[in-house]
Amino acid sequence: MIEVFRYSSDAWGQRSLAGMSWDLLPYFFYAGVAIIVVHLVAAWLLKRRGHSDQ
Amino acid sequence: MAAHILRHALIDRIFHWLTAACVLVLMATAFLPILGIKFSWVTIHWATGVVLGIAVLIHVVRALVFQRATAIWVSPRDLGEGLSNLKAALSPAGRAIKPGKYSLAQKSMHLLVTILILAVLVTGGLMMVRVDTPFWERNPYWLTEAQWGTVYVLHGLAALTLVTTIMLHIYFALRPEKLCYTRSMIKGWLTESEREKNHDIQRW
Repeated sequence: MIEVFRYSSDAWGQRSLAGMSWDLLPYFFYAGVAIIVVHLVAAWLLKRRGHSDQ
Repeated sequence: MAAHILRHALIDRIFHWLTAACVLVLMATAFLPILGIKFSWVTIHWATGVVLGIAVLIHVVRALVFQRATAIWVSPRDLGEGLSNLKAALSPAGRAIKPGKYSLAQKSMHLLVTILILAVLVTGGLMMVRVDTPFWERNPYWLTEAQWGTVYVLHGLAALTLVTTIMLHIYFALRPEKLCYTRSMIKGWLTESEREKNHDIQRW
């Protein structure tokens, strides 16, 4: 299970929100890669059909 | 020699590349330590953030006072044109509509980067209260733990989203049909034929 948030313990031992989990960094990176790949494929298909990809 | 049409004034190009440099430094100082490359990053990070904040402030004032700010903002008309252009790309029966100075994609990228940069600047500015600087001593009790947590979540979420956004921005800047826009962000101009091919001159 992916952790979305980071937590820390405050002075009284209570769990408090500390920020986004940095384990998410690869997911944001690969989301970028995925969008680029999808666009490359779509642009290639449109070019084959003779349309502009503008 | 082809006629050159000014697309980006020198001051706007300087702002773009200064912003790009700041964002790359901020991302490197934020994420390299997380990836295991340890160095003293805090001072470089907040000082670069201050430079970015000043640059953005100057850009906002220039855009609102000296430029036509609405030229870059997404309007309902842009969305309609974007839909028409999508239909035209997918079907020979569709009719492509040339944009004015900026396309829907360019306006959308500007809007997304604006939201993300403002989010990291505002939350980063708040986070500086917790850092010793030459101007003040740190005060970690200025907000409650829960409030600080929310600030850190927003800062982190905007920073992570910037990773994806910057990747896409660089990808589109390097695509062959977009290289004229990248050149215009370096040299300032498009050729007359590039403008005629891609833009509605009446709405430039």
